[in-house]
Amino acid sequence: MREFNVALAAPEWILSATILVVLFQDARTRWDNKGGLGRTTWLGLLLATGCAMLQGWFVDTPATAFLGHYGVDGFSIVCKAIFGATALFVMAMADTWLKRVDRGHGEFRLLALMATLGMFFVCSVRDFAGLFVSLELITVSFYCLTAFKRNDERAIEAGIKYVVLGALATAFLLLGIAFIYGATESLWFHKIALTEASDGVGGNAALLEFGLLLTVLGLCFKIAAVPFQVWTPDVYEGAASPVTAFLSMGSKAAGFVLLLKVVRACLGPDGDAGIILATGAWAGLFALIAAATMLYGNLGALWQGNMKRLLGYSSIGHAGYVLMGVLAFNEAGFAAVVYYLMAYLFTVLGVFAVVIIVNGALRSHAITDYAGLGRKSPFLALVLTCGLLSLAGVPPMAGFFGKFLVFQAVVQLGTPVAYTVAFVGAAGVVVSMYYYLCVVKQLYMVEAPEGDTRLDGLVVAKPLKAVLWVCLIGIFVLGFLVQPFVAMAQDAAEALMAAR
Amino acid sequence: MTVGHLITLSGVLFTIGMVGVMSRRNILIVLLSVELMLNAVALAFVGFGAWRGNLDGQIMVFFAITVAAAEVAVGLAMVIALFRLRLTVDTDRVSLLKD
Amino acid sequence: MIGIFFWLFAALLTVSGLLAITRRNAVSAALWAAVSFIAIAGIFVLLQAYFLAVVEVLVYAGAIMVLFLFVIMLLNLREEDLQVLEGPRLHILGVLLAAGFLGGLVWTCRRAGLYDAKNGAIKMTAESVGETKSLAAPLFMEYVLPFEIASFLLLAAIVGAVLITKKRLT
Repeated sequence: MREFNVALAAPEWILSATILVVLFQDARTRWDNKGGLGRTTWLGLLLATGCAMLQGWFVDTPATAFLGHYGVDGFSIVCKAIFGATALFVMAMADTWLKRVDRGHGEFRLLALMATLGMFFVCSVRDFAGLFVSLELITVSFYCLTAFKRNDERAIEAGIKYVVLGALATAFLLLGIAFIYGATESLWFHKIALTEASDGVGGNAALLEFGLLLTVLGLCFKIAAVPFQVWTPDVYEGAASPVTAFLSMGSKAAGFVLLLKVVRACLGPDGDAGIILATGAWAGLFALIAAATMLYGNLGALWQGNMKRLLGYSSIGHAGYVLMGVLAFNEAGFAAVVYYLMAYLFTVLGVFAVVIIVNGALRSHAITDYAGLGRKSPFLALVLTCGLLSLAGVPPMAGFFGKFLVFQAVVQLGTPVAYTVAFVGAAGVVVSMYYYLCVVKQLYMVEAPEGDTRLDGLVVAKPLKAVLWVCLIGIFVLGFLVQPFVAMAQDAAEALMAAR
Repeated sequence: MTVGHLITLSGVLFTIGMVGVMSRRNILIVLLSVELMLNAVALAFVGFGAWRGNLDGQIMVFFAITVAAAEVAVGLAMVIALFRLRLTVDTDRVSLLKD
Repeated sequence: MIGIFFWLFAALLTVSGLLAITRRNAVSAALWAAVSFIAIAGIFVLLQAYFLAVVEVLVYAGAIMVLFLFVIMLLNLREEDLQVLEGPRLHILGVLLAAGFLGGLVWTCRRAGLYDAKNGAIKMTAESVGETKSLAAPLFMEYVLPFEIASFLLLAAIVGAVLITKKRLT
């Protein structure tokens, strides 16, 4: 426990080294010769992700480093694999997209790498200082990525909305941490649990609960849940498409990883040594947030004519479904969260890959412009359809199984609150089916207007084609070959429960 | 002076900052209000730390100041970029993105 | 003695904070905010957080406020722009939110007995003196990882700020 053991953080060090190499490479090359940056980025990301996954075999988990403030366990390894895959997919999308932008390639890659570094750290931190700083590393990188197209008013507007709301949420998160610190005298997850177990909080349970409430509210910003969800559609629309894809998967998943860690550190299920129980009022709070989030996202998506805004509202809705897994607060619930994130990875990134390709030809995100895609480019339409159906939760797609696990975990609780939130969730699924199918209808049933040739002869670049195929296969593999992935999610959840 | 008074003072400053964020249209003053909120949190950390006789709270303030500086730098950069495009710092006049 | 200074700084902090968010002119708002940061530094000194008091003055009242003023002057807002940007206007929902938050905070402190003279007393012990040396040890031992992450955070902010403000990237 009391060792530095620096080598354990090898994936993070590889990413850090990559960032520094890209920084110097960018400074030393002319603006029209930035191909080398892409290669370095790919190499670094592949090595870091591979290294993180190899740790699953070669490291005796759970292992800790930095005097116990950094940990590698089953949960962190699975999450790092998810984040590494996200970053690789986004980089493949960005490779194509950056060809349309003449300047700023180095900055884009640097910021994306730093956001990924933050996500890797998020998986392994074990104290509130590390949590706060790594979360902010992600957030600040995303502020800059959002405003990347700085000559575009929409991008700057999105950036400013994101910064102001994000800073507000940061203040709430930080005040929450202050109260948790006041209650337990420590920033260290492990010690917080010990203090609770030895009745050290005693009369300070009020402080701990108030702090946890504020912390959860602050994290709601990252996962795009009520009451900090307002930014989502605007930022999704204003930011460049690869950035939106990264936001919708990476940033959201990082928020959930931290939410799981925080509730695990501060709350205990029945029969656990912790004083503050996860049942009762806390389950009610999470149920309230989940229900409000699902309603807001799914109802808001109903009258959207812009594809990226639609995906923004749908992303709010999905945050609500995942929160149902958090509220279950048991191994089944946490495993459902991890599985949902895996399924969401392939689904949402597949959809965004198509959006980027279509937008490259159309220069528009209007859903009506997608008319006739089914005839003009059957493969793209197929991937988009499978992605949307998976988002809606139609069997046998990946998204169906994620939703199934989440609902199962909640219904098994058997409390009135659980049934209510499951009912709201089911209603949300039905509503979401409608707006996803409206897009699918546009693809196949509506013909493109006469003379509109923008979608004719779409050429898909190689890296994007690879992303499309991997996502398509992933959507079906996680829908059919469920067992190994569920086992993986359960291992991760077990490690999370044991990490206390 | 008890720790309760310190935390209440920090809460008052936090609320002042919150009101500033919610009520002002000038983006510069909105960012300034966020800084007030982060300072209020710093006060809470130091207050709890002094009450507990523990230095971790002060370490956390150190990180909070770092983060606040980073956020302000990025926020002000965006204000400059916005001003270049629109010649305004008024949040009400920045509304291309809406339903 | 400490009590008197605490109430002095508390009053200064509240008044300057209120003035900072209500000024129409961004320059005077920034200056009032600087006053409130100095008041906070004063309270830090009372609580034996000497190092942070210095950092607060150097970084906040110094660097961050100068950055603010620099940007305000750079934008060079004309008088008529400022006329449009009137003082604060607050919806009833905002008032309720703010009041609810503050009420919840005070209620929490009361429930935890923080106002209690014995339970909430601040013990000025030798261990809690925040000098450079006593802060450096935990910062570079237990919290060295967040420290390293923070360095990347600052790098991200630099890269991003340059990217966003540059007219043309070359």
